[in-house]
Amino acid sequence: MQNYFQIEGITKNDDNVCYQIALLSDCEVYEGHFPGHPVAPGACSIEMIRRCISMFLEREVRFLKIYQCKFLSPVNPEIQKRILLTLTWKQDIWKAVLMCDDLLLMRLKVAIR
Amino acid sequence: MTEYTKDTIEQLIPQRHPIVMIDGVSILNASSAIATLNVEADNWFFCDGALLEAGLVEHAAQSAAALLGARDYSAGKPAQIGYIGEVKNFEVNKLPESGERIVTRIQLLAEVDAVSLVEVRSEVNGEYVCAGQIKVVIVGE
Repeated sequence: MQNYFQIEGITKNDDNVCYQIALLSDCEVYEGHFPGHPVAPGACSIEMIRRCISMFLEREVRFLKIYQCKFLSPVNPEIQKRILLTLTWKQDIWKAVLMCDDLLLMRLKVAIR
Repeated sequence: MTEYTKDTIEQLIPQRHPIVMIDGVSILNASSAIATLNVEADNWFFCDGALLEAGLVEHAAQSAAALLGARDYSAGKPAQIGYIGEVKNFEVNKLPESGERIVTRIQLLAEVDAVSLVEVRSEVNGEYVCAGQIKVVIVGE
């Protein structure tokens, strides 16, 4: 999953961590998703979140169970270029919220290992 | 039963290289199918020797899309663009490795307008890989 996103900033707070992320619209995945009609694949966003949690915990985490993952708005990487990922957690249960300005893109609750 | 192979699968789904995550599907009836994927190291979601969780989710979603797409295809309509609306209670037991063949059973549970709820379960050589529910939203051509 090359060149899908780039982390531009990380803000660590007491009870959450925020990643400022740039979506890279020249990523080759858009050749197939979909031809002439780029939409960020929801699965790529799931992997992006796994990588951000792994980076924060400084180890390779695995997703054991996705309790719920809702995609609330399709993401066009040419329009929603900069997105904000907010992560909160309680032990091994993590919640992720993906936003572009005021637009809610995605919400995830997952058990990790 | 109607079977589609790697050469004909693109008639059922709108995804193209590099994100095609199924390489065969057998349509059992209007509400169930079996989809497959041979895991190769050049897969878009392959990392550190295995197919990632995200690859399993995408494989499951495309398996569902193929079941829905087969109906359109047999009615003479092109593959419609669709999105994952929701992934629910999706459990991952094992990440498939290079050379392994994923076999996924898809069951359509409900369908309201453009939203379809499917149950998926994947195995490799009879070993449980992942299972859960996926909502697919079809938005059109």
